[in-house]
Amino acid sequence: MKQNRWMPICIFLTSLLLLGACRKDHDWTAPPQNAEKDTTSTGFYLLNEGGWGYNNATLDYFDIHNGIYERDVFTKANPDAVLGLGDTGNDIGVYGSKLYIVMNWSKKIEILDARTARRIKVLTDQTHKAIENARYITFANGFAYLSSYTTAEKGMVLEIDTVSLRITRTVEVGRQPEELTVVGNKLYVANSGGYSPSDLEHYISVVDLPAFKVTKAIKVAPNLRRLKKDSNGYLYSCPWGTTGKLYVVDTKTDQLTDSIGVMVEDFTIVRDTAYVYGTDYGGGQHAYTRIDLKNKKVIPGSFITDGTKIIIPYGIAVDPNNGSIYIADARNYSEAGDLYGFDVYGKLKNTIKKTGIIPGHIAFYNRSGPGSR
Amino acid sequence: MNRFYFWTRFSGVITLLYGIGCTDGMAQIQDAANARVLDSVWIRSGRATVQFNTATPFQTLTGSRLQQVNSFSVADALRYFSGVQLKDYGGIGGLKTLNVRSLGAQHLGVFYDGLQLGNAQNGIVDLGKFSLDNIDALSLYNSQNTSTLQSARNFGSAAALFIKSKQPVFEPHKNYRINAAFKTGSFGLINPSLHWQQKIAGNMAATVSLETIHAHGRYKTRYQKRAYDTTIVRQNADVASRRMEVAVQDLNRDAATRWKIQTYFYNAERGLPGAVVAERFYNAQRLWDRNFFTQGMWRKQINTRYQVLVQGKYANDYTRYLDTTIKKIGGAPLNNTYRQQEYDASLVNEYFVAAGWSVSLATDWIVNKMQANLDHFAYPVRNTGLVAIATELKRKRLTAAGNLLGTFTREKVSTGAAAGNKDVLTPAISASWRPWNHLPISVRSFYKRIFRMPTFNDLYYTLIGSVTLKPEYTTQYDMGLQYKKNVAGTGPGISLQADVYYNDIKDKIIAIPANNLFRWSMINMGKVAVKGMDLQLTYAATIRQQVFLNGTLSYAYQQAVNKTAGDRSYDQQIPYAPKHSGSATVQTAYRSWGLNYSFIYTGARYMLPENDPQNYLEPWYTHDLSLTKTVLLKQVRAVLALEVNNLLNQYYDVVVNYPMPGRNYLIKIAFNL
Repeated sequence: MKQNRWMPICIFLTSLLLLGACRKDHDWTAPPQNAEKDTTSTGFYLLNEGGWGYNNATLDYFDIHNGIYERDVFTKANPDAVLGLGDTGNDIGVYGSKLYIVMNWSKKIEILDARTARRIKVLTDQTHKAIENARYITFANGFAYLSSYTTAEKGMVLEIDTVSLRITRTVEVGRQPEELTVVGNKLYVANSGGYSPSDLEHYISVVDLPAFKVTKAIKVAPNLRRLKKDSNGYLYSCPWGTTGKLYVVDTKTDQLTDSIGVMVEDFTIVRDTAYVYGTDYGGGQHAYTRIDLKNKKVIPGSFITDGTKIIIPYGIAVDPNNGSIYIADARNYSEAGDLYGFDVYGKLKNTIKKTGIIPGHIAFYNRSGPGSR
Repeated sequence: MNRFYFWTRFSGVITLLYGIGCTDGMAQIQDAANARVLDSVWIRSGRATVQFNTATPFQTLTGSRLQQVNSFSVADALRYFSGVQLKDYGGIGGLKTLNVRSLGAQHLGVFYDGLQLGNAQNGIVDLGKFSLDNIDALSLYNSQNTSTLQSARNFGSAAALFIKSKQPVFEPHKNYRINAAFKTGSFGLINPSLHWQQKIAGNMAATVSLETIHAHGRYKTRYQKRAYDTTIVRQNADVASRRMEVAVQDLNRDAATRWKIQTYFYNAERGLPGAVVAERFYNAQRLWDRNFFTQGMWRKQINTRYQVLVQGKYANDYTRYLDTTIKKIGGAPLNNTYRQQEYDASLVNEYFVAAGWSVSLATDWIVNKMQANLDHFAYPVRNTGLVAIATELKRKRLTAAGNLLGTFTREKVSTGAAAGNKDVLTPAISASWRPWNHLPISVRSFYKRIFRMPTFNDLYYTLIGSVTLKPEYTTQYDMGLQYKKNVAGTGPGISLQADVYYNDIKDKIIAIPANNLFRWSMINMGKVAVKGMDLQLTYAATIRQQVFLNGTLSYAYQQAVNKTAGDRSYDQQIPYAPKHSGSATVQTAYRSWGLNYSFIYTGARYMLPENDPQNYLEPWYTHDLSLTKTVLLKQVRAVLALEVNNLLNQYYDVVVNYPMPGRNYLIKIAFNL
């Protein structure tokens, strides 16, 4: 009888050990979502930044032509990528047959085959120290240009050969450089200086491409972030936050020539029309404005005409094929985002619920285009 | 023999070994011989008794049990409590905070020897900093301790953790007591400590407690998923800390006047290993902490009906954060320093209306100041006045308590706008009733409404709109019962406490990153509703009068759901709250040997608000084992302990991407003389 006093404890301990059986690995991707087919267009990649420290950036592909939205294509194509796409995606771009993803906190540039999303090469901070804290990417003349905060005081622009995928040249620019663009044989990069809030940068650096040297600094405004070009040699730039001004720089003279009054946080330019959204952080008000860049005039009214409510617009793209407008909604940054597609008249055409976390960057590419298979 | 038979046979509550919670100090060990063996083996300082008829749920770990559970810091020991989640960033230097009943770590008041450890900057206390070597008792109260002889601040948090340092106790004809310990093991740990109590006059004692911890903190962790399998060594996880405490106090427990003055100093440097994400397995951020406080209490029994308690405290904290990967203008690395000062004064008047019935009036005044070398920093100063009227009734079969707390804050800043004045009244009420004299069952219930002030970080760290933040309110309703069964004369016994509760959190303060690394917005937006149940079972048994057995079992169920209007995750379980969690411990003693086993289970959780598969976090559970041997060498009692933690080497994260250590070891030698 006395020995049996141990029994309940033995049974209890055994049952605890058996609990080990109920731990299962979850590897799950949401099934593709169907949307309305639109044969006038092709498709795009959408980069979801993911939450900082969560390692949950994801790459989605929206096949607009066939009306299929596919989640997390990177993981499916690259099951061997250690810890997946990584943490805090910051920019995405397609050049030729390759897709480039700038992963900020994961200190890498993923170079993928744009058709399959299979990894071709990864550039890390082992490749070049300035890959740490990389920000934005742009392309010209067979090269990719990457801005990086770096781990030094001054930021850097790196030149990557899109054939050999090697870093060919680097140039030091201002503090905490952000977006960049190439006009002719000059590269322009917006400097923010955001690490020193009481001593921000105010200018766009001009890099002469043949020499790869900074030749000029164009004074614009403090804390610059966005920088995009139109087809007539004008640059448009705006700072972090919402200032109510879009600055215009003429690349012929490399001078600040004008500013346009508009609530702007991000914008995209298609056929010399800028599609702008602006956020008033405090009140939760958003403005969706078009600007006719030929005349530098704001087109009255919102380009969203049906009153669709977007919680936190975080990315914008206009379909070069048919003029449809896409806006990514980051919602509350912790729930999965949404993607809204509008036709050229600003009427909601399709809604993708639950993209990844913080959808923000779009690159058009036709995965099923000619030359496939 | 079925399970029921086991329990009935062994029914008879113990207090042999003061378990978690509901044991009763009245029934002391009968067998003198065994008691002595036990005493020398296990219990030296564990005589603290716990009331049966408590009006608010109360769990405690004291003396021997506290020393026997596998734990390195106060934080580790708290894992054995029911209804709590330890948020642990992993490793020996990782931040560890406690979340009680999903109210949030900022709603827990942490009291060190009766006075609150404040942190106006971010409202949390790192419990991993507190070593167990000089601790007598850890007590966790849901709602609050209902005593009327305490500062108004003690009524001001949704749950309260009391850390009680070792009290001077001297054996007859001895005017000193020295405890020295040395710990080593995994993570390159070297941890010597000394605790010296000295009688410096007939009724006065001084205590000096010193400790230093050095560890490289490295450990392996493994990531396996899809087609990869990689092992990572956690780096930059080192810690070097020093702690020094000095206390002087009176010894005469029955005197009309009692007093104590103590000073605490802690200094540490540690690496912040950061989240493990793709291509980033190493982070270089460093953190320096310095905490200093000095506090005093003086209690005077004016007459048989009236006594006063006066307490005062000054605290000075310094934190430095260094990130060499961020360079500011001029090339200087990001090097943020934060300084905080707190002045706290409290006066409590307690009056005994009748036997077992007391009322009190407590008034506190607290000043918090903060400085930082940040651009555009606001330099806030907060004045808080607290007034509490409280009453407690203790009858044979009824315990009831209630209080009303008035909180009045005034804030000033040097730049920008200051948060508005807040004048708030909040109540708490609780009762416990034992319906039958012959049945050892009591039922209890409490209600409490309380709030936490927005922290200085919430209000002033950002540039926009935050100064309009409202306090974050919690309302708690609880009903529970306690049961204990003991047969005087035999060790064995069983006790049980069970509670069901409902909490709601309103105006939860949420950070919204404003699309910008440097700027966040804080808003009062969240609503959370928590329905839950806590269960605790304690048992003790002796086998052939030689083997002593003590066990605890705890289980918690929580349905903590988001009730924020407009969220897609409305009605879904909030991040990091497991539906099911629990722990089990078994401690055995045979002559001078002790063997302890503990198990901790945390069920499935989600890392983000949406309960979708990609946010799913697996359940985790650890098995810990320890073996102790006591040796008597003339005047010196030596205890040798060997601990193995996470025996099955399970890789798990408590906080996503902050991996916890796999199997690890600790060797401890302690001398008492």
